[in-house]
This record gives sequence, structure tokens and C-alpha cells, in this order.
Amino acid sequence: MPASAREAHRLAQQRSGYPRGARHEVQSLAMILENLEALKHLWNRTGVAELDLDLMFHLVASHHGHCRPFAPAVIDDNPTEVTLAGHTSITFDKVDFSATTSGHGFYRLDAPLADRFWKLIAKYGWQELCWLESILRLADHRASEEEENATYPS
Amino acid sequence: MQPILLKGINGQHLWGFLTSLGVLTLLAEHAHEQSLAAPSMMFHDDGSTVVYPPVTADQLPAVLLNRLRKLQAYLERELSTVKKPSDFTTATFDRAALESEPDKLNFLAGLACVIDDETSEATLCAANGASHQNLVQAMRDVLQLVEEQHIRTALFEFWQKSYRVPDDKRKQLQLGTRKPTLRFDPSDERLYALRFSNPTMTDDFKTELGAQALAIPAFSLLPVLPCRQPVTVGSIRHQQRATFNWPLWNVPATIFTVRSLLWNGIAHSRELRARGVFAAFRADRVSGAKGKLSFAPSEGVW
Repeated sequence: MPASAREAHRLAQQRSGYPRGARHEVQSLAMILENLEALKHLWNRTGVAELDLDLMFHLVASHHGHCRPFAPAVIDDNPTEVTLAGHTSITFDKVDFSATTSGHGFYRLDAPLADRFWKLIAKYGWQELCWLESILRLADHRASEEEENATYPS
Repeated sequence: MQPILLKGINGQHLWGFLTSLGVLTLLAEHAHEQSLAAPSMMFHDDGSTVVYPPVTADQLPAVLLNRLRKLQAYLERELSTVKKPSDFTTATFDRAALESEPDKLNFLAGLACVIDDETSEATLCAANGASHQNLVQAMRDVLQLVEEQHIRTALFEFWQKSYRVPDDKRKQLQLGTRKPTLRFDPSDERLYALRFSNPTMTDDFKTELGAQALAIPAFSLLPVLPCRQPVTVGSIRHQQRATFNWPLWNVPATIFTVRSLLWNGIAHSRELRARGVFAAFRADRVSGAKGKLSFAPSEGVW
């Protein structure tokens, strides 16, 4: 990242009130948990029967390589509310994520992330969990690539 | 789950911390076997331990003793020929691993690691044969002697270290001159010149037997890492000196979280404080004359 872009990124973060070092994927997990009942309802409409919620939570939180098992620690003196309205997806169509605090504390020792990670290791094994994580990470890369290509066509 | 204060167990010193880990390990095994909610544990500022167990305070000593009896059976059956971790050879270690129930493999990995033909004992092993003290044999001795009352005292009362092996027990169990200690207590290694009585003429060894017993299962959480200079998780080695480091935390953490926390070490204090860790300690394992090992008194790191 060029120095000017780094500076712009820092300023944007400062102005938004988003805590330094916070990870968007951990915030996503917090927002999913906050809106879980609505999401379950949408999931049931897809007709796909079985959903491993623990696996879904872990994959969301770990798709940039963190949260195995701990989320990065964040010093957040001024937690802020994060909202995502009108999010569209192929599976769920349109979803609104209500305001969720950035002070979720998922990096703390009493957060459920480590327990969930070890539970999934016991269920899927070291290699299969990595494999599942890799599928989502690569899918995320391709999706980002598609977005960039759509924004900046070559 | 209601919190239970274990005022006897102080995590600020090595033996106390290992005892608290042992309690958490035994409770987690009990909860898993009985399909109960997972226990968690934290420490107060003064180092005293608080557990959130799926049993009541009255039931706690009996539950812990019951689990210790299972560990005793394992030590007397699968590891019956092993006196100290360095006794393992590739063949005996592999055989022990194959014959162990899955829930005992972590314990085995805490005693030693064997790479090619080289056996590396746990950094927490200070009973390596010198003065006839052997770690695994001492574990068997302690578990043969321990009773529910010793566990209760170690959990709920300040440690008086007043247990002395009765003569009839010593004779019955053929203990000879062996002492029921894992040698985590720095006072185990008092130089002769600093003692009031002559240790060759008198048997004045006293300890907190319940705490000795409860520290044994802590090895399940502290595997020996197979690296160039194998050490126990949380430890560093510099020449003859090995140092074990540990954190204390003040938010309830389950055994899975504690396992990961111990692996992470204590280096990043700012990050750890954000997670709920409020202090870190260390204890040096030092070498004395004739290869005798002992632990120095614990020190605060931050």
C-alpha cells in the first residue's frame, strides 16, 4: 500500500470512530449474532436443511486467518454502533443488519471463540477445518476480484 | 454455575498455578464424561482461584478424587514401568501412546516428547532420579496416599503443609525414603546447612498432599514441544536454566481457552491485558550439584 493510501486509510478510520486494529470479520460475527433470529428465518426459506451454526460463525470470523482461536485484541475506549442496511446477497436477497456495538469483546478470554474453534477441531479434524476455511477464503478472494474488475475494468 | 472460591490455591506461585490447572482439567473431564456444562476458572487479584464447576462445593473434593483415581490407575497400569519421563524410549513411548485411552494422550505428551531416539523430559520435571526422587513414581506415591480430606483442605484452606507420611503407610506402600512430592515447592530443596534437623537422621518432610495430587493432571495442559530444544509449553531454555512462564486472568476461561492462552505465552502484555490477563509470573528450574533439579521461588514478570 503506498504511503498516501496508508495515511488516507488511517484518517478514514479515525473519522469513522472504528477502533484501531479491529477486524471487520469479527464485527461481522457480532452482527450475525445480533441478527441471528432474522437470519435463521431467511435461511429456512432457502430450503437447505442443515446448518452448522458453529461452523458458520467460525468461518466468518476466521476468513482472514485470525480467530484460530483468539480474535485480535482491540483497545476500544469509545465503542461505536455499526449498521449495515440493505445488504443484498444471492442466497438471502436483501438483509438489514441492525446496529451492533463494536465493543463486542470477542477478543476476551471469556468469549466463545476459542471453545468453538476446539469444538470444531474435534468435530472436523485439523485438516478438514483448514480445508473448509480455505474454501471460504478463496471464494472471498474471487468475489473481491470480481468487484475490483467490475469497478476498474482492464 | 455458581463460582466457588478456592482460597487455598494461589496461582502466584508455580505449585499453586499447576494445582489450579489440575483442578480445571479434572473438572473438564468430569463435565465431558457426564455431559455437563464446561467448567471455567479465573483468579482474584491476590492470586486465589475461582472455579465455575458443574458441581457444588460439597461435591467438589469427591468429584476431583474420583478423577484422580482414574489417573492413578493409568499410572499404575500403562506407565507401571516408568519411573521418570527420561525412562521413555521410542518403543516404550509409542507403546504407551497406543495403549492409552485418547483422554490420557495429552497427559503423556506433558511428560516427555521422543524424537528419533532422543527423549526430552518436561521442563516441569524436577524429580529426575537425583536423591531417589522420580517424577512419575512420585505421582504414583502421591495418588496412593491422597484421600478426600487432603483434597478438601488443599482447596478450601490456606496450605499448612502439615502432611507427613504415617510410618505404617510408608511401610505398607514400601516408600522407603521417597518423599511424596513433585518438587514444585521451592522449600523441597532446602540445603542441609539451612535445616534445623539433620535430614539423613530424621524424616521431617511435610507437604500439602492434596495439592501435590491436584497438580498432577496439569501435565495434560502442558505438552512438551517437539522442537530443536524441546521444552514444555510456556517455557524457554537458556543453557542449563529453564524458565516456565504463566499468566493469571480475571475473566472465566474454559479449559480450551486456557490451553490456547498457555500456548500464546506472556510476551505481549498489552494484548493480554485487553483479553483479561492481569499478571504474569515465572519460575526458574535450576540445576544443582549431581544433576539435582529444583524450582526457584516464583517471580512476577508484569
